[in-house]
Amino acid sequence: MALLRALEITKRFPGVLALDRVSFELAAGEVHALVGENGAGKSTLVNIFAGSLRPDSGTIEIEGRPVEIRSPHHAQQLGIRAVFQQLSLVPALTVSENIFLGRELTAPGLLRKPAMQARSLAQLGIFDAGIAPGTPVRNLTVPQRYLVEIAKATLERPKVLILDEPTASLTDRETKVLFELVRELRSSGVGIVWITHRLEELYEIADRVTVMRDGRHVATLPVSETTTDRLITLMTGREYEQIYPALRPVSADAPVLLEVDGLRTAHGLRDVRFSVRAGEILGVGGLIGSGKALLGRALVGLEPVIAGEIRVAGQPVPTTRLTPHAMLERGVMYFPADRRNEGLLTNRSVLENMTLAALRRFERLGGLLDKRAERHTVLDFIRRLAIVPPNPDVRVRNLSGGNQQKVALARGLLRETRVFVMDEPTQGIDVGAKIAIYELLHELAAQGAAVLFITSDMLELLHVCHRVAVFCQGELVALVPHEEATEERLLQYFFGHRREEGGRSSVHAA
Amino acid sequence: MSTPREIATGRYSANGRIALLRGVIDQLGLLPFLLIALLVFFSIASPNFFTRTNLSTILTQALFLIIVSVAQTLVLITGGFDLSMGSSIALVSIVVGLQLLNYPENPFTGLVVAALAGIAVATGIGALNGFFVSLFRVPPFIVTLAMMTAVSGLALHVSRGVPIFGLPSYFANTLYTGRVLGIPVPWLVTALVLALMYLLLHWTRFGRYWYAIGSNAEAARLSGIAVRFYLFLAYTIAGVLVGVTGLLLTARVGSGEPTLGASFPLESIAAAVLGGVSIRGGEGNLFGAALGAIFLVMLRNGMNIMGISTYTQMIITGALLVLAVIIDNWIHRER
Repeated sequence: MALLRALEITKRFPGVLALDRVSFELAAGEVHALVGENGAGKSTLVNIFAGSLRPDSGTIEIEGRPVEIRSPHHAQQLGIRAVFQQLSLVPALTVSENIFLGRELTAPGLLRKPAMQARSLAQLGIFDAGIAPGTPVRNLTVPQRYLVEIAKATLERPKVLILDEPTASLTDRETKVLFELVRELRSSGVGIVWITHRLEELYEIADRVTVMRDGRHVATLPVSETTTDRLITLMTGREYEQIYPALRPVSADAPVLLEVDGLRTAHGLRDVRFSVRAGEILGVGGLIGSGKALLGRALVGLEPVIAGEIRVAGQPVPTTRLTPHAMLERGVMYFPADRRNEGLLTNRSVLENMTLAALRRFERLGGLLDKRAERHTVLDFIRRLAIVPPNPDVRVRNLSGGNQQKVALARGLLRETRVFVMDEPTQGIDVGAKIAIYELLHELAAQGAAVLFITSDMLELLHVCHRVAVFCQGELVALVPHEEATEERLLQYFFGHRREEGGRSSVHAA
Repeated sequence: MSTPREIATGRYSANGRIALLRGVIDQLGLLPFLLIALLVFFSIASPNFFTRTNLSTILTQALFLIIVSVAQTLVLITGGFDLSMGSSIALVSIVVGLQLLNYPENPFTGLVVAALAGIAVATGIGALNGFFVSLFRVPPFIVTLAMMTAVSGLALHVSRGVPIFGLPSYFANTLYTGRVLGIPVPWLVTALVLALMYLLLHWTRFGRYWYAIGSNAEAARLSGIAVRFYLFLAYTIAGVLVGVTGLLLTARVGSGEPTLGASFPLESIAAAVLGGVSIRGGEGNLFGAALGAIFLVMLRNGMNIMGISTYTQMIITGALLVLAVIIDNWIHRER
């Protein structure tokens, strides 16, 4: 009998059919991997299991009994615990207060703090990560927080444990410890749903794998009967070559558009040095918390820069007065990863979003806007970028993720942008839209722009970029040319190996 | 798969009729329906309501609230709001009154000096609000609440708590009952304010930036917009409009009143919200707010005609306001 069974689950969001009659089965004592592109519906599915979302139709059974999971709290009562990348810890509370949040041990009315601390210590002990139960969570590193979150989820042995990209923010050592813990939970009969983008992990930890694509269930296979290549084809519905456009070489005498030397920020980046030429796509990779996202923000002054030089097309930019505006004036535009909260005016129209940074272009006598010219330009970009629906008056919140990203890009295209700094531009968008974005980036590069492509997607680093800059603990540890970039190699750098001048690598003393 | 049209309208609900209603309200706003309902209701309830004289009275009374609501809308669009508009009007009234007393026999100089002084005071208060909100990032609620208290105190202090009587008659004769090209001056000023603010909000860069800031200040900043400057500007321009209102209202009551306009801040927010301006910023337009102001004044007028007591009126107005905000949430909730 299945521990958890989902039958024909359907879930719609405005403009998106997130889950289309998806079925899923988890056995007790099984690690069941769930893979698929961003936007395939994995998160929606596990959010339904975790009680954060309610399905539109379909049934869920736990140990053969049909249940309706009404809330996260209810899911926990049913024995389902989930650990998402978005952690649920309260930064101001201590580790043990977080672990026991909502189920504090009490002796008639009063908290039994020593008992809770002792149990927290025992619970955390298995990780051997040196986390003291009395430390406020805000003082912990990202991997440490993740371990606390897992300790919290496994305090009372759950029936079902959902882990959403558990290794994304962990180092090698912590990943190994996590694997051990998961194996132990498995042998005691816990069913584990393991969402991941790192396919190589599956062979180490998972028993079965379910592939999803575009909200549909594609296949469920024993891990032993599959290969990475086959999984990728199942995930994307395409062969490799169809997804990634061929790289055009960067000419050796192309001018350097962006130069960064000795960049140091108040929180994180140390001595970062690199340059990007016209026509080049420079991938920026690393673990979560490695500093790769900080780089994009620092370049436009969103992170306080305390030292270093930045030159755009040879002209130095005073780092003391670094602002998005100053960089825009020099042709550098930053596209944040969090499109909805930072990048777009979600309740305004496509038109207003597109022309926001270029309104002066349409100003006529007396400062009045030439709305006809504006509309004309916007329609032109909607056509060129194949934005759906092709309507300038739609509110951006009603567009799919891929189309939202195109609107954001168009804002840069409407100005004379020479350097595109893009943070996770393909996050949460479907394969078709991704391909469109890749092609657009290549086109931009071909026209002489430089692209800084910050991404967590290993395949993008390997296939879309001319060079890859790898960050680890705030430092740029390697610049790897496309020809030398392999997954294994980049992962080594991710975990702190340093690239030497000759191309050999050595262990980076962290 | 979804069709473009479905994506465009964002409507997927199995509950089609409610979704359609929401869509219509989303486009037109709730207000036209409420206004018609109110008109019909009062016309049936009382024979004295739907008359030329009474309707004209309603509109004349509504003018002041309309201008303040337009000012409030400007600030609301940027994602803030201004509670100090009422006490600002009171201080304008006192300053205008005191200035006019200096020029009993000199209409032209008197009007110019009083108008400039009054508008300058309100503009200064608006600028100060904008300064604290934009530069020090103090929440607008706190800034304008503090400003409301301080300015109210200032108005009472300067006037020693008593109205300033004996204003020269030319003042009201010009700014309240005066006509230009046959149109009463307050009407003309209101029309001018609506026209200029419409141009500013919808036909210039400034308006776009204000909507952008209210919709998503971070995105606006990343698009190179000087967010602080435009926030400052919004509060300052709102101040100018409040000054104009203070001037007109003083002409109407005929004296410098230290507590004039106390109900305006909340009524203007109510009018704007009724008119579809989002309290979360980045949404709504001034004609909605103007209709909202007319609605509130009409509601009060109708209830007066029906002989409903002031206290009951307050209860009804409050209840309607909460209802409007609930509906606003329902329309704008994440879909």
